[in-house]
Amino acid sequence: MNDFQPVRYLKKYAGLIAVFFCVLTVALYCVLRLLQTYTATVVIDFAYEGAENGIAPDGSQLNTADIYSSSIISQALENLGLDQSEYPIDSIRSSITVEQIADEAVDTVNEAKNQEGETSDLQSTKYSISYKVKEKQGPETARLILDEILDVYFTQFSTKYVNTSSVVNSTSTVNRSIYDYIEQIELIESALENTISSLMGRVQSSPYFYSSDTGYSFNELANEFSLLRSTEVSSLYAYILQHRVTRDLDALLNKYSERVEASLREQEQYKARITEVEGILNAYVEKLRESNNTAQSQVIGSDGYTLKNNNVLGDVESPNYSGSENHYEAYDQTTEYEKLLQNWIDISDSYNDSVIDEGYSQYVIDCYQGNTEAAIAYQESVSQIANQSGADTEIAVADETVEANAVQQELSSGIYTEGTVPCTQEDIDYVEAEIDRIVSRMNELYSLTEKTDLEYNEYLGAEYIEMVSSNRVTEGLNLPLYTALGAVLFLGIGALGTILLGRIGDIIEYIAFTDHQYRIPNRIACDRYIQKYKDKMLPPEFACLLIQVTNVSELNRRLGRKDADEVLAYFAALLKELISGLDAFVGYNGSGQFMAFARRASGEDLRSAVSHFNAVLGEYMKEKQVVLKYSAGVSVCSEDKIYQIRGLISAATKRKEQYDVGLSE
Amino acid sequence: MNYYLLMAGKIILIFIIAAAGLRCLYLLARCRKKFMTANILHAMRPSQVHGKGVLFLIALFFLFFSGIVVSETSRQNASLHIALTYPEASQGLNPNGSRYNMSNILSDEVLKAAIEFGGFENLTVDELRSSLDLVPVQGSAKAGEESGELVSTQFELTFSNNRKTKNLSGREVVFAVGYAYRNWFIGEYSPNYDVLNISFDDIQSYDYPDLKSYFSNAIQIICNLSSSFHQKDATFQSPSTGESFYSINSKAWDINNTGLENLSSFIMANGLSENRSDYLSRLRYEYTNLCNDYRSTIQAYDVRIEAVQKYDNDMATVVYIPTYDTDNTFYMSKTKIGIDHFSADADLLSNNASTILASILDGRYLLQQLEETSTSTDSAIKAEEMIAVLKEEILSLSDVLKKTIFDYVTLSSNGYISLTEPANSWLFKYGLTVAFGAAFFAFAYFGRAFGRLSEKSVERKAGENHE
Repeated sequence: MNDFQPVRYLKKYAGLIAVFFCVLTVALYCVLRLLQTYTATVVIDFAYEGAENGIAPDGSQLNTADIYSSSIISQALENLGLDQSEYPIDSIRSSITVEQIADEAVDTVNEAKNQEGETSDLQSTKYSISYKVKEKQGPETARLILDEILDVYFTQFSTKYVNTSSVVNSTSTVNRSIYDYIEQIELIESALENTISSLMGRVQSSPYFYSSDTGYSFNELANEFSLLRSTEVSSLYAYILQHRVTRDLDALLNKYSERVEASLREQEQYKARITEVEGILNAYVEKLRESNNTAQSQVIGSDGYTLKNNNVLGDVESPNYSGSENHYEAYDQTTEYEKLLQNWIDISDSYNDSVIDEGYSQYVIDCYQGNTEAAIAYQESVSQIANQSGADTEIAVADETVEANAVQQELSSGIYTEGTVPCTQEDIDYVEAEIDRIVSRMNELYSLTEKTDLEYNEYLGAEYIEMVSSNRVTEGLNLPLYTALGAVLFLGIGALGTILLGRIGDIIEYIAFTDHQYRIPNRIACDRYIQKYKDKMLPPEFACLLIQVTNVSELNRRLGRKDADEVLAYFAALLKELISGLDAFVGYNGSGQFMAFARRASGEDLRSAVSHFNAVLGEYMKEKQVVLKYSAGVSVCSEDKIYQIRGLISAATKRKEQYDVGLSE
Repeated sequence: MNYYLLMAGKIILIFIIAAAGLRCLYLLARCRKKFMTANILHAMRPSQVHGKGVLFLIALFFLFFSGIVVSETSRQNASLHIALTYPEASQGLNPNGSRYNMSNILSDEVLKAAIEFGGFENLTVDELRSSLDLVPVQGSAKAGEESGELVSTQFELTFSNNRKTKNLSGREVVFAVGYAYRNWFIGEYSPNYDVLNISFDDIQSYDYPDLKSYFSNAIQIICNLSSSFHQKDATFQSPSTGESFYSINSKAWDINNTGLENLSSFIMANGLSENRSDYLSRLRYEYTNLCNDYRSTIQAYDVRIEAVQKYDNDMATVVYIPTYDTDNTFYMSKTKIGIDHFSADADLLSNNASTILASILDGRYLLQQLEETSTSTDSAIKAEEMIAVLKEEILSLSDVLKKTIFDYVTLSSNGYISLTEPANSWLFKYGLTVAFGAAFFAFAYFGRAFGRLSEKSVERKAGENHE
């Protein structure tokens, strides 16, 4: 069997190793590509006061899980025009992670305070938000969806925690409703009042915010609404009252009459409630007083002197910590007594408003009924409030006599107009047209407000949440690195496999293609060699040597089988040794025939080798004292002009010469 | 070059290389079957290969052809750097303070505008998007790399031609998208001062007494906008108008306090109204409403005062706490109880009531004036003259503010977005061309060597048969 020579195997199977290496490396790359993921990551910082305590701007607990709430993802997908069947919401939610990033500064403060015995549980305000997608969705999808989710979150953060008051266009279709005209105008007036109030709140928060989209600030919008209210709405209201414009007079009067009655009932109820609350207040204080539990109770001592018993504690209770874990949490400290008083105030306010509403409803009824004296009297009585303020005492009219005179003056001057003109179809048409125009203008302004508010929410979101890093997409697997590692591994496996296979090949070669007696290739190996070169054009220096031992039987008889085999083994070994320098194949073809093929040899080389062989063999055979007879023939491609292996063998066979070596007994 | 022509060129190029390579391998395999390796190596020697000059000339022609194909392919694939140059960009914000979103570069709106801008016919937004790629220049990281805390302000837009985008020039496409995005961005996020386009078209629909509010709104627009920009840059002075935002703001208030006040006083003093009856009716209604508001407010105030008085003495004890004030001097603070809140509420209500009362008194005065006077032609003419002057002053100042804002935006934003082409990789382009040429020459040369060897074998066989 051949010696173990790893390099020989590697050289022999270099092509196979290369193919194995390339195929597996490409396959690994394809598999890694399929397993590749892309993660888009953004770092944000909740940059407002209280964020380090985990509190939202409105004082509630900040919940960062809102970032991947279904409402936000649904809105983001809608904005991007992506189909939820292709991008399931829960699939996206499960691919999003929100992680708090450690902040050394915060940790240092916590540590320092805790060392001094103070409780400090400040948190980092920085969060890393990641969204992971598979290879088929690509890095752009990860970036796109995460960007949109953040846009929506910023806006929703503002609407949920900062800009919580809404500006709603509640009167967009009031002109097409079944309400009477005065009711429509009341609704418009009320909507305008609420809108102006909401807008002024925004003006106070962000006086310098201007929308890039509409060009408006909230101040300008509030001014526009105010101008509409103070000019056109007021004018129309006055016109409706002056001309008693209504769709159904009876229904209107009934409704306002009912409103008056309802107000009266409410007032009764409020009066009773006020009395009851006052009773509670008195009983509450009295009981505390009697039990010496007021803040400074009067105590009569045993000596008869009155002392003040101070119930105020010397130490200040830490007010805003509650719960076992000392979480900072603001909670209501108002005492029951003050709640009772606030209740009393609220009921009193409601009572007063009810009285005003009752008077106003009656005034509307008086106008529509043409009861001008009563209407004027109402106006005069209302104006008394302002007169009594002392701002203009000269025209203050307090008593009823003067008021009656004023009514007469108004009527005689012809200036008073409310409820004086009967309603006509032209009035109805005019009012309807004006309401349409006002509603149309309001809708325009609300549209501008909506756009401005949308941008304001985006602005507020970015003001409260700062971007620490841009949206970055990271690959889950480092494809070049893993592919390179895989390639090295496959190369190693290929080399080791080749060595192993080569060695196995050697073993098979030895078992199947080696003559175990002479330790050279056997007949099958010779046939395989001939087959290999059967169709090839041989090079000119290719040569063939055929040797046939002709007296094998005689050798067996004279030396015995064992010694005869030994002679032939020597014969084979000698032949192999002498020919090996010519890059030759030496095999035993059976029946005493040996074959040798030299790839680079001339006829002279072979003949010289045979001569040398003959001489050495002769010496050996003399020692054995036996004659070995063999014939040897040489053929060379260039000499015989034969370039086919079979032709070369035939030529060698034809040129055989007989040799007898050794001594006979 | 036409997309299909270029595609045909690419296919031909690859086909020729592949065909030459396969032919070479086929001939080698055939030779391996018939010849020993030594014969093959011998045959590959330059002395054994005939027609090398022709082969070289053909290879040169192929080099030229592959050069055209590679160059045209490169022309149809282009990149553009889009950089944000305004101050807020480094904080990840748009100029209006909202969050910057780079995905807008490939939004439908921008790509649609790019198609129109570039005149790319028969191309849809989705088709264009499919050929574009966008990454932050410093924004993509390989697995395991630290992304760091950096807000990117520069992005690379890459165009790769495909079947859908056909024969578009990559450079034209990326610039069309870049310009479209810049226009869209400026339109979307740059300061919008359209509100300064005060037309006064609807002034006729307002009666004389309403003109105070009407003009006040117009003046407020100038005041508010100039204040807003003054907050951004208090020292800015426009090179074209010579005005600062502060000076414009002052001028607006001057118009308000002089011109508008004069007009308002004149109208009130002369009881000017185009429809006196209707206006009186409205005033009365407003007056009644205001009085009701006042009544409601002052009653609420009274209720709180009563609540303070009602607060029982025994419950009203407080503790005084010596402390420091903001000037770091001693200050006696005290614990709060209900009456503090009620008093504060009462103060607020009193303030509101005072504001309403002022409106009531104004309304009453106007009512009296309208009742006692009548509109004369002379006073109406004079009022119109004052109105015309006021309009002129407001419009003139709004024009100055527009120019000043324009100057500020131009100087501070650096154009918002800059577009630059990244340096081309000439080495890659020419290297690829030379590689194609060399491969072709090698395949052709060895193919010829192996072919010649095969021919020799046939000749030898014929020689043997002849012998």
